[in-house]
Amino acid sequence: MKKANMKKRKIWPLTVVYIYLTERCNLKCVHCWLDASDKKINYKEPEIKHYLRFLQQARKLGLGLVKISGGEPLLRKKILIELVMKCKEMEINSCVETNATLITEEIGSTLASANTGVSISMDFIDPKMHNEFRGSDKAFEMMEKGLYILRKHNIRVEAIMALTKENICQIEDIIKYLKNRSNVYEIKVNPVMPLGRAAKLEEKGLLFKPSELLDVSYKLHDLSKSINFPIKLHVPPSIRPLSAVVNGLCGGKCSFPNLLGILGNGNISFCGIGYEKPEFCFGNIQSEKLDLDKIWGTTQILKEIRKDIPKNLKGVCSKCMHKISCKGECRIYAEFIYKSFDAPFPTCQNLYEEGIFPETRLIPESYGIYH
Amino acid sequence: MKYYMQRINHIIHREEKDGFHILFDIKKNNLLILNSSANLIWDQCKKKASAKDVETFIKENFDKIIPENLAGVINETLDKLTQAGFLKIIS
Repeated sequence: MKKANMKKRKIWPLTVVYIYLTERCNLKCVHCWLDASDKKINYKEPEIKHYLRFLQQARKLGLGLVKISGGEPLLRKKILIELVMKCKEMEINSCVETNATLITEEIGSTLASANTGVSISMDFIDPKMHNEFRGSDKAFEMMEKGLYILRKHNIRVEAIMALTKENICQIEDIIKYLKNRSNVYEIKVNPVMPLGRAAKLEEKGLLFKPSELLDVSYKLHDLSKSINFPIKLHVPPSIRPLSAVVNGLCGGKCSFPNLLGILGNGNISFCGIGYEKPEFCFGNIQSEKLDLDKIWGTTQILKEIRKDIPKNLKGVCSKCMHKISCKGECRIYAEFIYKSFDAPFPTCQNLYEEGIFPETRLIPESYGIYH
Repeated sequence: MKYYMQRINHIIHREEKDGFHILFDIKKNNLLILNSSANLIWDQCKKKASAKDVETFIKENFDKIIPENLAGVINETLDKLTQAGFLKIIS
């Protein structure tokens, strides 16, 4: 649908869809928020016809990007291939998040011809540590083969690193390694949150506290400058140096609330939150009567969120200069901690309560809160 | 000639350790981040100034850091600041 027509009908644009192609995974990573593994599932995963029908309906609402993730999406290789090719045909951008262990020549050539972006996981330079983290003694070796194929097909790669206190010292070596073996253009560093299996990492004291993240943020930016390579740290812009914010090396770019997620069982949710909270699912793409236009336009909670985010964000987010662009970072994490979608982002709120939230990013109290 | 001047009402200006600056419009919740060069240009608009005035000032005072396309950089920065609502154009 043309933008002008959408405006006339006052349709809120649905710009991004995350497709969690499967809940299953060939690895068993210690930080997995989804607790994914090769476990058996007791439901029928959607078929390609379901995804295609959904995409056709979503396209009319403004869909421009499909991110395919999992579990491990390459476990459903055939469907993945059809999906990215269909996206190309429909002029929808696509990208795939994978652990890179199942990349074949066929996958490499398809992703290249579909012009699909690829994000791969790499957490340690030490193969043994990487394998332990990823829960498979072949993970590193298989990932190396995947990287080789991606490079052969000239596919640009974003590396994703799950950051803990165990691997922070390996970032520089990981970057050197990736630069030599792939067309990696940036490394996205995601501090592990205490969700799913990662709760155990927190018990072991391996996750960064908010106050420590502030320090990590500035140190990683110094490293990024010294080795002249983009390190994108997935934390809110308020705790990144301004020069990192200007260069887009921070989080706060979630497409919420212009985003929907399709879970492994076909349920439609905000994003992956539907796994934890079925009350945040609004339908299923396998339903013969799927009417996305109706779901997107009339679901009450979606309407409320559009009204409140970022305008009515609470806590430190209401006083933060980055409020409009950051939109409170991850609303799902905020809901998870504070049980409310307009709650402040927990990391920032924590820093604020400790009195160490960067003062230069706060709107002075004397100005009140402007909406 | 086109003259520029800072809007000062409801604008917050902050400097950080990395030499970058924040301009924040509290009325519009509008945030702009400036590097030190852009901030120097912004600073010259405390009083009514044309692009030429800014260029002359920088040439006279910062001869060692002048980029080749100084006039282009100045015009681009002034446009950006104006579009974001931090400078007003006065005749």
